[in-house]
Amino acid sequence: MPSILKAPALQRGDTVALVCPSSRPFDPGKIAQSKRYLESEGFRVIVGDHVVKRYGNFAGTDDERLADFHAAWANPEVKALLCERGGNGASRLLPRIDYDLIRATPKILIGYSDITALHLAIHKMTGLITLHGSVVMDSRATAYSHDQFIRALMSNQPLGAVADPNVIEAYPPIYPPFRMVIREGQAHGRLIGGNVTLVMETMGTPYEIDSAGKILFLEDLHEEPHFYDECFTQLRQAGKLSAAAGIIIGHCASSEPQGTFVSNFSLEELIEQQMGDLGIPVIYGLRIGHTPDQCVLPVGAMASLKASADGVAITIEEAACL
Amino acid sequence: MSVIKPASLKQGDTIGIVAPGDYSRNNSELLVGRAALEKAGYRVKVGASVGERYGYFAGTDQQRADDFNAMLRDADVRAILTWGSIWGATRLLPLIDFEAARHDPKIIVGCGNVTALLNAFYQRVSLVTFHGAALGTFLGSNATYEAFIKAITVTDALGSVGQPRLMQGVEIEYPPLVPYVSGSASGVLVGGNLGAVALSLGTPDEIDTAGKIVVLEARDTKPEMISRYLTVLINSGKLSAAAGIVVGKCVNCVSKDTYNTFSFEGVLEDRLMGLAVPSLYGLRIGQARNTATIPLGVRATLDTESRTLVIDEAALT
Repeated sequence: MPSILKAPALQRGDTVALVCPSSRPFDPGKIAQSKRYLESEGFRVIVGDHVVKRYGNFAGTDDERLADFHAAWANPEVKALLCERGGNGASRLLPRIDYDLIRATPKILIGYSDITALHLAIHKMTGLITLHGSVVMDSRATAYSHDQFIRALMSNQPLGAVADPNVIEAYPPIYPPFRMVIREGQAHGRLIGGNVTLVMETMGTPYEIDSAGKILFLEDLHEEPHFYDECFTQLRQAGKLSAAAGIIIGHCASSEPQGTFVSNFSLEELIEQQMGDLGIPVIYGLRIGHTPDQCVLPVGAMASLKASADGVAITIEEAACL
Repeated sequence: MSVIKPASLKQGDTIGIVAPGDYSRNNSELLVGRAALEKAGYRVKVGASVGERYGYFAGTDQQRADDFNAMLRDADVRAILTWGSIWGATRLLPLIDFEAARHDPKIIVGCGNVTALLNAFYQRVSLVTFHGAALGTFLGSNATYEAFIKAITVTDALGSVGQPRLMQGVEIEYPPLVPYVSGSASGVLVGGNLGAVALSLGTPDEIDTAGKIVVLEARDTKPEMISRYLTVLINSGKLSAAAGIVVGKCVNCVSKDTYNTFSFEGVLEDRLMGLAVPSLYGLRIGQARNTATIPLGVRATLDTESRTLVIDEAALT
């Protein structure tokens, strides 16, 4: 494991690259919209050459997406790579990414979902702390998300206690709550994780997730409980769950059974079955993924998780950026 | 590695039925399947917890494992046929008594998620197992039934398997046989369900594909997820290490997403054509009504020119 590497925090006036290492935006106009938004935040914006190219549901071929990614990383003006969206395709690029280039010029990388592949591979190969947080497309879905996004990009201090989104209306009730305690306990370690499907896509590869002694966070979208269970079984049998110091399962939207079975377990019940007997703290519901409110978790930063009947505290103890 | 081959099934032998993963909604599968097996001249023993439900599983992990292990340890049982189990059989891997199969090798047949168990039996105790018909599918068609009975009774090498039905030399059902990378290769057959193969990575039962003919089939899986499974098998070196790749007939692997995604075949082209490994798509291997039952752990030859997969080695003694 390489030693921890950090990128300089963003400042107003810095140049950022808007990239699509996975899928292209649903609407090409969103690129211009995101560019104007980032400019309104005080950044100069360079847009990848191939962001609206099309190959299947990828933003261009692997060569084209890789060219944009490397061009941004090689450009000395660019201080951060901001992903417009996730989708599919990032894991295909992993064997061909120039990790030496990344190691030589640490930059901020932010995104989630399919971008998990880049977080896990880059952190494992270079030690760089990257930001698991909004893609630009939904970075301003709520004031909470916007605040999390901008603060993580621009702070050279520890992000501290992870706050909950403001709940303005009590009804309709939201489920799961932001921090449901599955197992009480305390954990201290570096943050690692992301999207369940993408974590699966690292298994058995040189970029396989290392969860030993770390706080493992997982989320996904639009998958049925049995799919989560197969992935949990894989991680459990690979020793990735028992090795972790603690586990945070995010709010996994649209993950109810789709009528495949007459009776079924919910995701909540499967988390309990697969992770409840590990002797480590486990919580469920944190808004880290495909939800309008998203917090930022820096991949590789030291953090603590305290889960008890009195509540849950998650604290990012280490600065993610210089 | 010398493999352990079970004895062929003989008239009057007992077939044990277990449900190692999810439960089947259709109890008639058990009734009709049992009757068909008895009519074919076999005795049937049904696992004690078959019919149990625990969420979508056919009983708790321990109940399902106890059933499986009871069949493995029962000297009367000469074959184990699985029921249901598109999901959840993987949970039993730490609980299965693999050594029992070494002491008393028997025929084990399954598909879908049971693939994980089949490959583990091969990798842990060198047992030849059978991928194909399960209790709910072996009566899917005449061809499926005949292939199933042949696979568990014949002591000769099975020869060519999984050819689609032809009429005047033309395939009359979809899909046709499609080679993506031309060539011929021989090696031991491994694999089965694509998801189960991919999700073995990183675990103690991670599939070994080096020099092997890898069979892959899927059911109810979006093309995007097929692409992801193939990508992790590529990134882990599992596909480039293989001698050949056979993609069976995949059921209901269509995209519900109309947004610029690859079709199922588009995914296969995109992921397989870049490999220097011969690959053939469309053999009747998998979970469709018309499917072959193939032995895993014996030598076979893939030839894309003749569009055949030939089992070269006997699977039974």
